[in-house]
Order: sequence, then C-alpha cells, then structure tokens
Amino acid sequence: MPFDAGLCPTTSGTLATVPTGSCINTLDQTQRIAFQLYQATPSFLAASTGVGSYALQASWTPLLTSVTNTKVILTPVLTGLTIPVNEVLEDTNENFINGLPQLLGFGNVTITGQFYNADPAVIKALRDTLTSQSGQNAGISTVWAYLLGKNKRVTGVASGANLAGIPMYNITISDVSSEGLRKQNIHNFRALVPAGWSENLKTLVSSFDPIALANA
Amino acid sequence: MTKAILKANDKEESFGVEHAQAILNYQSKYNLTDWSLSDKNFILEDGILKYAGNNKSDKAAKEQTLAAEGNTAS
Repeated sequence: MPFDAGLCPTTSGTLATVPTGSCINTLDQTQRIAFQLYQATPSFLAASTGVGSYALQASWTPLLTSVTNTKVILTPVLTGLTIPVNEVLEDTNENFINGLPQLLGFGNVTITGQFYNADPAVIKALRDTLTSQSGQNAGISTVWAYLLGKNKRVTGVASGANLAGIPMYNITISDVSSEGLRKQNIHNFRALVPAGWSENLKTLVSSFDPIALANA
Repeated sequence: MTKAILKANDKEESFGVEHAQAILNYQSKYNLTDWSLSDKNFILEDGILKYAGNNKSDKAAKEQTLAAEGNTAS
C-alpha cells in the first residue's frame, strides 16, 4: 500500500527487508488493452504453460467468447499510450518545522492514448460498456485491464499464482476529432488508476502475439 | 445446462454447449486449432455441435443442439 498520511505508521526500530530483486520486463509500448470484469479468482495463471496460462491463445479464446462475467473485450490498436508518474501530494505551510511540507501521499494517475481511424461502432460499444462499468460512481469500478504490448507482452497484477487485471476507473473515449485535409480521425482514450496501482505489476511474455487477438 | 467437453493442451474442460460452439466458431473464423471436441455425447458436423446420444428423453440436450444450429425445437 502506498504511503497514506491518514494511517498510523507501522514504523519499528529497523528498516524493512528489501528483496534482492531480479530481472524485470519493462512495460515498453502498450498497443492494445484487454478489459474484463473483476474476478474473485483471476482467469489467467501467471505460469507460461498449461491451460489457463496468460501465455496461450487457448486460454484467451474461451474468455473472448464467454457470455458470462468472465468475458474479455479488446480495444483497437492504441497509439501513444502513456502512463505518467504520480504527483506527490504535500501540504505546504511555512509554519511546519523548517518550512518542510507534510507528505500526504500520491495522486492518481491518468493513462491516455489515442485510437486512430477506429470504427465508430467499435468505439460506441466500448464506451457503452466500459464507461458505465468504471465510472458510474466515484471511486467504484468493476473493470480491470490487461495491457498488451510490444513483443508479446502481457501486463497485469501478480495475485498468487495468477495474473489479475489492473483496476481502472473512469474509462472514457472521446468523440472523434479531425484537423481536416489528410488528417486522421482520432479518439482519445483516458482512464484513471489509483496510487499504488503498479506495486504488484507483472509484465510477462506470451507464446503468441496477443496484439493479434480478435473480439468475438 | 448441457455441457460439452473440449480439449486443449491435453486438458479437458467442460463448457455450456453454446459457449463450446462459440469457441469452435471463433477458432474456425481465425484458423485456430487449440480446442477440439472431446465428448462422446456430441459430434461435430460442418462445424456444428450435434447431440450424438441415443437417450431420447434428453430433450434439453437436443434443444441445446438445435439452438446452436439456430433452429427452434418442435
């Protein structure tokens, strides 16, 4: 959990042990996003083999064709998806000791990207379902996401032996924009992730290219 | 709900008949071969799951098969 100024500190006489760490896969370029409703037990295993593995097309097909709450839907290809750093939130007051601000925590992160020349019917379907599932009430969402990236990357959240999705809020896709002659149609994609969203982030490499997946 | 068993990577999993049909249709559309029918109660005819049982009282299963074909049980 990220620092929260409202909680009593759990400090002790020693610093916590920090793991040695191992090689991690970078997020690199996210090219599509797969959305699913929250699952009590994530639909994917984090292992690279076996039915249920995030790494196998055979695991995705039943989810893409599902008619229950396990259904997975895909965005069109995204351009320029960026995930900025959190803003550090501080209370600044000259009367604090030496004028140093009180740390309050981290802000949410706004993820943005663009869909170029997307089919309006696809955009409408995504808006109708994702915006309502993730933005009806402040701070409540029923949607999580897997980032599908360059060189067969699949990014989610480590959850035991499983790979869960990344909870996203207030998912919106703008109306189309165009700057006229020889310009492309652009829809802006936007979603919020809360402070601490990346603490258990896991980027794995699939055995097939998930960018080539198709909605059922 | 009547289930049909499909197999992928040497592991069998049971799906509702309509879901199983959707999986097979999806695979056919995108030239995938991960899942295959592994259920003696069904046969695959021209890509359509059909009930192969000889228990005539299993009306529900027949209706599921007909539904997968887009027909109505009479």
